[in-house]
Amino acid sequence: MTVTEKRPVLVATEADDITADMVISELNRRDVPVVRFNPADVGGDLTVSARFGTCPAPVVGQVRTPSRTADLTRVRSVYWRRPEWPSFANLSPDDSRFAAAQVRYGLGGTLYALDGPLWVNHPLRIAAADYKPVQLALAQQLGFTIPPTLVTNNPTEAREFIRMQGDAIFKTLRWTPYTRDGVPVTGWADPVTPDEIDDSVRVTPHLFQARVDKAADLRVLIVGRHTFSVRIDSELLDWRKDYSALTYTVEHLPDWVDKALHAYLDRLELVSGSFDLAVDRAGDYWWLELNPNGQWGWLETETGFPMSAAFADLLMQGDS
Amino acid sequence: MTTSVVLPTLTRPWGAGRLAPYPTATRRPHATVTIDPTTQLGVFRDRTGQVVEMGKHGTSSGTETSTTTNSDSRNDQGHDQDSSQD
Repeated sequence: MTVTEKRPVLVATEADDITADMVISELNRRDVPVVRFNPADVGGDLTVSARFGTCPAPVVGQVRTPSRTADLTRVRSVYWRRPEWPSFANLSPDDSRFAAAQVRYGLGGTLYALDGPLWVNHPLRIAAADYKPVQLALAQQLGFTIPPTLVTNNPTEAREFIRMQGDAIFKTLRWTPYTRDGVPVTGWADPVTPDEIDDSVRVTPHLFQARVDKAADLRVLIVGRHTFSVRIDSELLDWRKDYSALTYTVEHLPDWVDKALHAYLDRLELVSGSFDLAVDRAGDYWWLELNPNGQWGWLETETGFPMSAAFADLLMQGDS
Repeated sequence: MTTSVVLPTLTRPWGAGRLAPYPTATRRPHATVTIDPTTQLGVFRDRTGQVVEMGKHGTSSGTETSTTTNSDSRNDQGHDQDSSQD
């Protein structure tokens, strides 16, 4: 064992994260030390101390949890899985805004200052990639076919676009936590008709898209140089609506599609991402969207693809 | 197009009305989660403090779409990427 092999992987995620557990188990199997933390634990179970300008290394210090200490100069890689930022909901609005920002810019900022580790993925790159208009434009640039899409807060244009497409759907531009009468709700790809459009479209931009006459969906997970491509067959417009109605098979992507998806992540400086594509009845591919931090744990269980091992290999390899 | 429109500033955006519940609200068996100091894995316990085996197969589709903490959509655009402070 060289010293390099003992450098830790930081795993930033909440405690309840079975998918992270799958990757950590693989890292344990590889005898790679893991320091798991959740930013929301700051103050109690999480301490950060970083010094700047005190020695030749630009950043020195530690992140400490109740069980582990990570030396910031020795971090091999960072797995940014599903971290929670603290909300300080018990403080006044001003104090909670202040406190939350200090954590983001103090703890987050210290981690962003490290120039050594490999990030899977860097949160600032994830944030930059999370704009659907940016994603659609880049997909077309890289040679993909995308469904005609309109982003507008003009009800007249929205109505006209939906009428022209014949079959159209509405998608949210951004997910936010939302409960209605105590029940959590979320956006689904659902058909929309012109007569459903009213003046409240004017309040914010909305995304309308032609509905692809698809034969199946594809979920393509890229982890480093690996591509895991899964065909999802169902009768559903949005396959997330009923997982029990789905069948999964391994899909062999054409070489150009595989290369273009890797190029897509390279352009956004991401090392991993989950793409949603559709195959139409003619067998042509339609690019739908990228989830830079997408869920994949259940797909490993369904397909047997060694996804968590691929994440562990990538994190182990780190910046070397 | 010179039609003047009074902006309905207190109106909820049209899209908010399109949001709908998660269809598969799977109840997960644990009450608390802690981190094992040695393995750094989550340790799930029920209300009586008994360890519940979640394991790899806990990532069944139902788990991933449960309404509260594990929805696929939330992961896909998680709170960690919240840009509200930028």
